[in-house]
Order: sequence, then C-alpha cells, then structure tokens
Amino acid sequence: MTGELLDIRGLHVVYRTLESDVYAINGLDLSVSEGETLGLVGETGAGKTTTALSILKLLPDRVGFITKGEITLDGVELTKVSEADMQMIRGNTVSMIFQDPMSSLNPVIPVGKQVEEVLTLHRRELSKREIDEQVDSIFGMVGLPPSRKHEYPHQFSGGMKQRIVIAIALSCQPKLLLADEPTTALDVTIQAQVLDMMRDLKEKLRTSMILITHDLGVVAELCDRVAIMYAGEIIEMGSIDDLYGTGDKHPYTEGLFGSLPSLTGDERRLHPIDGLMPDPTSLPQGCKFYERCPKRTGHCEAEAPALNVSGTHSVRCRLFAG
Amino acid sequence: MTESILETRGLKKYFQTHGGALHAVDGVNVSIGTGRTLGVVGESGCGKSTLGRVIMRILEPTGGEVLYKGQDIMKLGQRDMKSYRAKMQMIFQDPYSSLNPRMSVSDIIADPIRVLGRITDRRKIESRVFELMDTVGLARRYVNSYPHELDGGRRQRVGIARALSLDPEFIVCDEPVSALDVSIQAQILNLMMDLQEENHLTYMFITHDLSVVRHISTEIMVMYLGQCVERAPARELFEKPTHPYTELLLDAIPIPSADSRYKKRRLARGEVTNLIDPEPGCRFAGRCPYGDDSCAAEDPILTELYQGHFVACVKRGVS
Amino acid sequence: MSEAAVRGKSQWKSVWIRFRKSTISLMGLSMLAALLLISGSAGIWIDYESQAIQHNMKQRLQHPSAEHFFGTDQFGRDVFARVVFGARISLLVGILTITLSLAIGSVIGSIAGYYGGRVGNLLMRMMDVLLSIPAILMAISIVAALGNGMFNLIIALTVSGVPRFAYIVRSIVLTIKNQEFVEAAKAYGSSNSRIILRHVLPNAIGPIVVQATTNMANSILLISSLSFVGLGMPSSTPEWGSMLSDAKQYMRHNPYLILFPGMAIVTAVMALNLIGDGLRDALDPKLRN
Repeated sequence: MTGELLDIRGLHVVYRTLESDVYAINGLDLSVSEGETLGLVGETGAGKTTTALSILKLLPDRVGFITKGEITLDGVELTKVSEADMQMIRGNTVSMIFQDPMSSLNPVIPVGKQVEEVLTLHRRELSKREIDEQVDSIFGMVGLPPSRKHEYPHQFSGGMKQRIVIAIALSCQPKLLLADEPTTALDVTIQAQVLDMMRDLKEKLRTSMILITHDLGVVAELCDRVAIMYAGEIIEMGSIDDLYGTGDKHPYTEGLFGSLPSLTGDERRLHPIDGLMPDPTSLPQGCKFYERCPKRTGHCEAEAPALNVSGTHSVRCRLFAG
Repeated sequence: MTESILETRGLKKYFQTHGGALHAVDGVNVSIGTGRTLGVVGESGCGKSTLGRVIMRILEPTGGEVLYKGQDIMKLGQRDMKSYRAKMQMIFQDPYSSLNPRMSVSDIIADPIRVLGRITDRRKIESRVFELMDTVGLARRYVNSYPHELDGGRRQRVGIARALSLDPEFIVCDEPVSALDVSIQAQILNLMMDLQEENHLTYMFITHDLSVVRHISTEIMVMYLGQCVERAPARELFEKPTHPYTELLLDAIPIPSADSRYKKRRLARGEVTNLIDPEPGCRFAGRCPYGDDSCAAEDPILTELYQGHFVACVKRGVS
Repeated sequence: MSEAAVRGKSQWKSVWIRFRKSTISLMGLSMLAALLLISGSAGIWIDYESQAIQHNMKQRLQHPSAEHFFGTDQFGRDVFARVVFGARISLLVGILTITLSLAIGSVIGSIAGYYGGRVGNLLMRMMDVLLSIPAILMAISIVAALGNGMFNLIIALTVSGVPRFAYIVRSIVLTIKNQEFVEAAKAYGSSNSRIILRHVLPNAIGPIVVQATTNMANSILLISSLSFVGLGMPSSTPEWGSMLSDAKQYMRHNPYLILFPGMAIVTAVMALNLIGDGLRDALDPKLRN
C-alpha cells in the first residue's frame, strides 16, 4: 500500500470502432497524493480525457475498454468494482468537471436543486434543513450568491455556469476532483476569476485534483506537479520547477514550450515541433516521438525508452538514461 | 508611415432582436497600413468577428463606411464588388465548419478561381492548386482527400490556400489558430508570417489570445462591447496598457512560468453585460476599478494620448 | 504516415460501411432489390397481355398450383403475373412521386430557408396549409376532381409530398447557411444560386434520402389505398390495391387472392422502411467513427 490517493499502474485503454482499434492509453503510470494538484498536459488525442474517463469508469459503452492495468483509488481497485458500487464512488470519492458547462447542467432544473440532488443521492443521513444549509454554503464557497439558487442555468453567464458545475462536483466533498479543461471555454478575464477561486478552494478543502489542460499557463498557476502526455503515455513528469525551470527536458516538452508565443520576447519565429502525433490505430514500435524528435538516435526507433527517474523528475527518453 | 489599405469610418452593425437592437459593432474606426497586421482582441461578444464580417461584406453594415484604397466598397453593386472580392479574402476560425465536407481539397481550393472566372483551363487550374498546396506546405498527395480525412492543422492549411488562390492583398483572419493545438498553432503562425513577407499581405488578425496577437501584430486594437477602447503599436500596448480594461485583460493571462503560482492579480468585477440598446456612457464603467459617476455621463472619445496610442477613457484619456 | 497518395474516401463510402453493419437494413435492401429485379425483368418471362389482362373464364378462381403459383382471379387472370406487374406500377408511381415532390420541395425549402423573410414566410405558411390536410383526404379530393389515372394519381401524391420535403430541406438549409464554409463562399463572391447548389444542397442529401425512402413507403401505401377505394388506377390495371378490392367478395373461399397482393404491399413498404432506418443510423453523426 502506497501513501497515494490515486495510483494507476500500467493502464491500457483501447477503443474498438467499426473501422479499427484505437490505442488511446498505452501503459500509463500515474499517482496523485492527498491534497495535491496534478496538471495533465497534452495535445488533442494524447489520451488526457480518456485517462479521466477510465478513473470514473465512464468509457463509452461497448467501445472503450480497459485492457490491462490497475487503478487504485483510496485503497479500492476500481477495475474490479461493480457498476452499482462505482455509482457510489462517483460523486463521493471522485467527481469530474467537464469542459462545456452548458451541456453538463440540466436546463430545466433550477441550479440549487441540481446541487441538492447530488447531496440527497450521496448523503442520505442529512435532513432537509441540513441539505439546504449545505447548498447555501457551497454556493458561497464558489462565489455565487445563494439567493440565485432558484434560477435556471440559462439565466447565468458562462463563468457563473462553470462555478455551478464546480459547486456540484464539490458538493459531496470528494477526495479527488477531475477537471477537464475547466476554463478553456471561458474568456480570459472570467478564466482569471475562476482560476483564482479554484486556487482558494484548493487551499481551503485540501481536495486532490487532476487538472487536464493544454494550457501550460493555467498549469503553472494552479498545479504542484505536471505530467506531459503523448500518444497515450506519460513522457515526462515533475514538479513545476522541474518543467518550467531551465533544466533539461524531454524534446517534446521543449517543443511545446517553443510553440508558445512569448509575452515579453522579441523573436519573430516560433519553434514548433514538425509533424503530427502518430496514428493511434498503428503506433510505432519504439519511442512514439521518434518521427518528430530533433534529437533522435538509431536506438530510439527500435526500442521504447524507459522512464528515467531522478528525484521528483522523470523522463521517458534515452537521453536521460544513466 | 505607410499609406492605409483599408479604413473604416463610424462602422456600425446592429442586429434586431426581440429585446431591441443589439449593438455588435458600434462606431468603429480602423485603418490598416499596407503590409501591416492589425490585431483585434477582445472577449466573446465584443463584436470582433462581426467587424471582420462587415468589412468583408458577408454582413451588410447598419451604418458607416469601409474604404478600400479610398473606395467606399459598401456603395458598390454586385458586379463592381467582384473585383474587390479577389483582393480581400478571409481565413476562418473553425477548420471543421469552414470547409465544405462534400468537396475535395482540390475543389475547395479551386472554387474561388472558378467563381471569379480567372482561369478556365482545367489543367491550369490544377497546376495552380498544386502550386498553392506547395505554398501552404500541404503535401500534394492530399489533393483528392476530403476535409474529414485531414487533421485540424492540414484543414487550416487548406483554408489558407483557398484564401490565397485569388492573390489577395488583404486578409481578414478570424481566430485562425484558436481551434488548434499549440504545436500546430505555431506551425500555422509561422506559415502566415512567411506568407505575409513573401506576398506583401496585409492582415487584420482577430483573436482572443493575447500572446498570439502580440506575436503577429504590428498594431493592436482592443475591443469591448462593440467599441474600440484602446489602440496602440503592439509592443507599446503590452508595455504601457492605458485603458483599465486593457490592464485587466493583460493581467488575466496565465503565464507559463515557475513563478505564476505566487502571482496575485486584480480581477475584473462581474461579467460582460449585454449590448441591447446600451445606455450612453462608458460601457466598461460598471466593471471598472476606477469607474464613477463621471464615466456614465458621456461616451468616452478615442483620443491620441501619445504618438499612435489611442485611448477611450475619461479618466485616462486626458493627460 | 504512408507516402502513397491519400485516397479520397468520400463520406458516402463510410456511410455504406456503417449501413452494411446492420443485417436488418441489408435485408430491406435485398428485398427491394429483388422486387425491382423481378418486376423489371417481368416483361421478358411473362406475357403481360395474355396473362395479366385478358379474361380467361375457363380458368377462373383456381387455387395456387405449379401452373399458376398464386392461383387465378375471378376473371381467370394469373395472380402471380398481376402481383409482379403491380410492383411495376407501385414502384414507378412511387419513384416519380418522390422525384417530383423532392424537386419541388427542395426548391421551396431552399428559397424559404436561404432567403427567409417575407417570401420564405409566405411559402412556409402555404406548406402549413397543405400539411394540415391529411394526405389521404387531399389525394382523394384531387383524384376526385381530376379523374382516375396514373398521371392524376402522381399529381395527387406529389402535392401531399411536397410540404414534407420543403420542411426538411428548409431546416437543413437554415443550419448549413450559417456555417463558415458558406460565409467563405460569399467572401469570394459566389452567387446565391451557386451557394445553394454547390454548398448547401449537397450537404442536405443525407437526411433528404432518408426522408425520401420513408415517404416512398407511404406513397406505395397511399396508391394502394386509393386504388382500393376505386380512386387510383383503372380497375383493369394490375395494381395491388385494386386487386385487394376485387378480391373482397371471394376472400372466404379464395383467401390467396387477398394474401399475395397484401404480402406484396407489406414487403415493399417494409423494405423501404428498413432501408430508411438503416440510412438514418448510418448518417447519424453521433455514431460516427
């Protein structure tokens, strides 16, 4: 037993579609300790959302399958848990915030009722009055006036709706919160408000969180640790200082940073990574980044690199071996 | 100072809604110098996309003028407009909905040529398509592919090739990289800047992404609720933001650096209000940290504070 | 990434791949194909005049046998031949009706959807009026006014089919016309008619085809119903509905007279509905990939 709240070992996920098998997650190891916020960064198709859905066991029915690996959450091995038990775990131990606040709220139910519903479902011991108080305090926590709980989702703006979604996710005080691009759909000034609120909540509630995003700036503001995903694997993981500092990084991570236009520099050209992520239906044998890597050697094509750990920093690249 | 290729004067676009007139663009004056890039930034609903569409005459304006090299194109009939269509093109945000899913890559790129009847010879069109594909860095083997077979970056290259097919001088780019992943976004931005240099293009670059707009623009215009609140050379805007809204906007950007965790920022109060029949006075006053009664009294006028730096704010405009 | 030229796999190809997955829709398709094949080639191996039309009182009301698979009717005509030639009528009238109402409906729907405004409103209110009258009543009144016959039947069925297509085309046009590729086409000066023909309608084909198959099934039912009440085809013409109608008096002793034309109607209608269902699923963007 490790001291981790969440521990994923050797996870493999495949989507079986009509035309082909898509290898979405290929041997993922990941852990989150209590009170920690982990940033999961990667481009479209890297497998970030699939990772979250695997933890919730909400992979699309009859399409997505966990083929190998273990997911241990709060001492429970999730891959072996029945659907009925899983329903209690969702919301109680782990809950999720989706990118689009519009589609995660029911348009015909007042927002206060939607928070209430989660509470009545998972916290049977509470009386009606206690639930009411709880709803008010959650609303206050995410910065919404409790007086607006009788209003419907369409009466709120995008930023407000995302606060409501966060309120619902936090209503049962889950130990782990999965936030999938929670601020991507919001405008910058609203994003700043929501990030600020999330930072406060993190300190107040000590909830662990996996923040899924493609925005390295958002990660820098909110996370304790960062994991970079590429083609269904974690290719680099470390503290904020490991990844945002001046030390050596995985060539892909270098490429991600090189792609960002600077807010202070004068350089006219960006330094992106050429090419695209490999086709998930037929992945290369060796290093998955081989095709695009500026620092590749002959060995990289044939042999998949191991994860090289040094202190808090681990990198899946031969350059870091030994 | 270069001569301006495009100018708008008091451009307005109101949409009729059940509640009243929605002032999407409300008296905007822009002028863009030949070969330059004007960045237009603002949050959703500020009217930046509508502005681009009115300039392209995809939407007809409610009032005001759009001058292309001195000619008011809003007064032109369909036939005269055609010759301007070739010179002004647009690149769209969504690489999924901006390409017709039933047309192959070669048909999409060649469609403008066919419509404006520049070349009619089949073989010449084909070689022009290949030439354009080379220009935008799209492998020739995709010539018969359909949009759904391409990834976002390649689709956006098709969109750029289509816009270039008529050899335009001026391109309105409506969030051309917002839907793309960062590494692809950087590839496209590099491509667009190369194309600008090689073909002496003038861009109007509409985006909500402040780091992108700083990177690509020579001059930046900040829009809030249908109006321009500040306009300045790109570097200067970031170094000396003057309008309170610009300050908040710049302060809100999450910066990818190890120190961001400790950053404390000022936050804008509340959220963007709606634009239906707005009251006179500064539209940002309600959220502004410095707003008071004097702001609500009258419309702030865009005034030149320093050389080339314009601000519309009662508190800051008067030095 | 392979170096070979990327083949253009049109969306229709992937639609076919998904359609193929459903056994039941494939069944519908093969039923329809069989009907088309048998009725199409009927002229070669059945003599229309002598077997399906001429009265032959010596052989009247014979039960099914090796000589007459489906037996003979009260005038000694071969029921099998009449059912087979009946398929021709139903399918022909059905196809012509659908083509006509599709063409007219698409024009009305495109204009109403693309231009909107007063003209669009007026057109759609006219469609509302047509839709508010049940199809069968409308068809009966038109045939009653114009008289029997294939041509009038087609007119009657077309009039009741047009509003359905107009509605579906209008709603698709409304969603497509705001997409960015249409704005792009405007930006390089495409005319409105070019935009509708090249950009809007090709993207509307999927749902229209689904509607067409279901509508055709309805048309076949309507043709038979009208003929059953004596308002469709002249009674000498082999037509499933009029065959049923003629057989009413003999059904106690000669039930096959009802059974075979009835089965033919069921087969045709079911085949089309199964195909329609399959197409709907295959075209559903949510089931993509």
